Amino acid sequence: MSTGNGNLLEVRDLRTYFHTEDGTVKAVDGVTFNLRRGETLGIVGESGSGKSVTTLSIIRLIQSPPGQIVSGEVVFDGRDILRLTENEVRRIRGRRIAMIFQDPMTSLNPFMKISRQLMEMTRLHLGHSKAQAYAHAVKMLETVGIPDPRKRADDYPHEFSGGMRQRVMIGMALSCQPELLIADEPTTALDVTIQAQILELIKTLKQETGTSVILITHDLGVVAGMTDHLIVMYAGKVFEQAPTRELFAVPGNPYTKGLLRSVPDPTSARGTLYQIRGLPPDVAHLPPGCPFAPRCDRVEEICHREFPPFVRLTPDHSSLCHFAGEVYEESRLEREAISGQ
Amino acid sequence: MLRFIIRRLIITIPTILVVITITWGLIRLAPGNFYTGDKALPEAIEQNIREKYGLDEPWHEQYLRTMSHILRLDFGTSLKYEGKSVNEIIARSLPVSATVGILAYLLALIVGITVGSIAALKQNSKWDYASMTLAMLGISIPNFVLGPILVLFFSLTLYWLPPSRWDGFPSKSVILPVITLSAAYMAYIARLTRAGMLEVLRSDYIRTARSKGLSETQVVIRHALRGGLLPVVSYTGPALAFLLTGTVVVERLFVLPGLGNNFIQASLNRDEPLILGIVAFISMTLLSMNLLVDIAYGFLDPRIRH
Repeated sequence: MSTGNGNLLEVRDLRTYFHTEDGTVKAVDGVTFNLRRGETLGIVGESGSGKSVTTLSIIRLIQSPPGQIVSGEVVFDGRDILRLTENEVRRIRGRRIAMIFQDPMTSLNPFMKISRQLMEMTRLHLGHSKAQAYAHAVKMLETVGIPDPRKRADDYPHEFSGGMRQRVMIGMALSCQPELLIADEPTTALDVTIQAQILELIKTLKQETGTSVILITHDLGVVAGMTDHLIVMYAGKVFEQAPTRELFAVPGNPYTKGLLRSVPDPTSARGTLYQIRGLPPDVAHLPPGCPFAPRCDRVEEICHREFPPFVRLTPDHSSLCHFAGEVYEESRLEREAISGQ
Repeated sequence: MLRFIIRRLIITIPTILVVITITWGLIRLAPGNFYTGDKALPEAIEQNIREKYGLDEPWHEQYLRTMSHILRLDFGTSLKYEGKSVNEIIARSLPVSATVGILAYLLALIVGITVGSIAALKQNSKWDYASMTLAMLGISIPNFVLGPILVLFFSLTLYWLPPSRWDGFPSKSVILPVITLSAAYMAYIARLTRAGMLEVLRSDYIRTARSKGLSETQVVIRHALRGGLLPVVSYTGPALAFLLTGTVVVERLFVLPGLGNNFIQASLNRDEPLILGIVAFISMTLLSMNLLVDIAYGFLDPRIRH
């Protein structure tokens, strides 16, 4: 089963474009990353940075037209998903790669009993009989902490609260013991206390089953405690990539630094909250240089002219910036200054 | 649910009474009478007729008498067809209207939903454009134009089908009226299905269904159709009522001995009991179909069941 190098998923130079009347939107433009077995990878970025499109491309759920996976490789357990037939991909979806989505209010079918929606998974992929599938569905509901699962199984989604629905989604996604769970902003639509519960649930289930996880979010607080590796995306490109601790400690990209400075610090109540100026760019009409240049604090003339290189700072830390080395060095000095105090 | 049904049934009664009152008023407001013809009647004979049918009484007494009969579901006898009760006439003509109506309804549903679903699944393809153009034509061409065109082509040019005759069902004589009658409904259902399906196919839970590894057919049949067809359901209830009770134009065109044709005859003859009887029957059918739709909605959409 293993490919030998310990990688469950290798995404190489993935490009997904949307052909619209307004021009070609390069939603994902040359994304490359690896995911090791049992690891949790976080993808962060603002709305429209290509996080969701990246993961939807991985299991080929991009609506076409207008979407099109233009090029790239998505090697899952040694096989390139982009080269499989539709039938082969369907056997992977739900069975080996499962997804949960942002809005649990709308992600479950409102016309179907919860039990039937869960049973569908194991009947399709594990060949369960009706009775087996029902028993399994109840068991999954119990696993994700639905109280009185035997009784609740035959309820409809609207009879559950938002947090409970997201639990149901997680239970459904994990019902075939997938090797990879993709969670696309699983807590964004929930209130804060429920967010913590859902994250805790994902964490526990991940430890129990050994599933690898890709966690998409725009909330840096969420990824900090959950992920091993982080990818920062901007305008369809990977801007920075590093182990989570390293990225938080010594960011090598002005955009990442801006993001980290934008997180409110509850220990210092004074002063105005930093914000990155401007708005995310229109990915249909990108300027020739660095897409972040118009908003960057340390922008120089070259940034508007030339597209930046993807600089390798350490063996597993890279940054897309003309001045990646300098930014990284600055971060280290700041770090030392703080710890020296 | 039961309370809801009972409440709705109770509201039905005053609604029908209002409809009948308005119809009665319209008949009385129109000049002339059922006995007025080309030649004026001698005074004495006219007086006799007025007494016999109670037309010499004050109008409110006549109204109350009519209503009290109708409330007991006694519509009286036709003024034109001596000795024939209104109930008898309705019972004889309803099967004709209902046969054509049900066939047209089924045809409209089957073709409309199929075409609409295909158009939605293959959005912006040539299939989509072709079927929606046809649907637009179907809605825009009135049946009194479509009927004669079909007759001209299939009956008077190709000699395949009879132009106007009723041989009962099944027979060739059914085909043209059914097509003429169902065309507009078919087209409208196709458009409703397409719009409903497009909305549902873009929804989050369809993405979830796809991410489970279901085939496109399973996604459409198990997950999309139910939500996509809700708009169609609310339309088809009243549509069925209209189709069942016969349509004036199509029955007239193809000379079918149905309710619609009888209704026109009754109106021309100023046959008050027959007009009121048919109007009452049609409104009752329409209201019960609306009620059926609401009940069906409850079964289809668990969110409004409570």
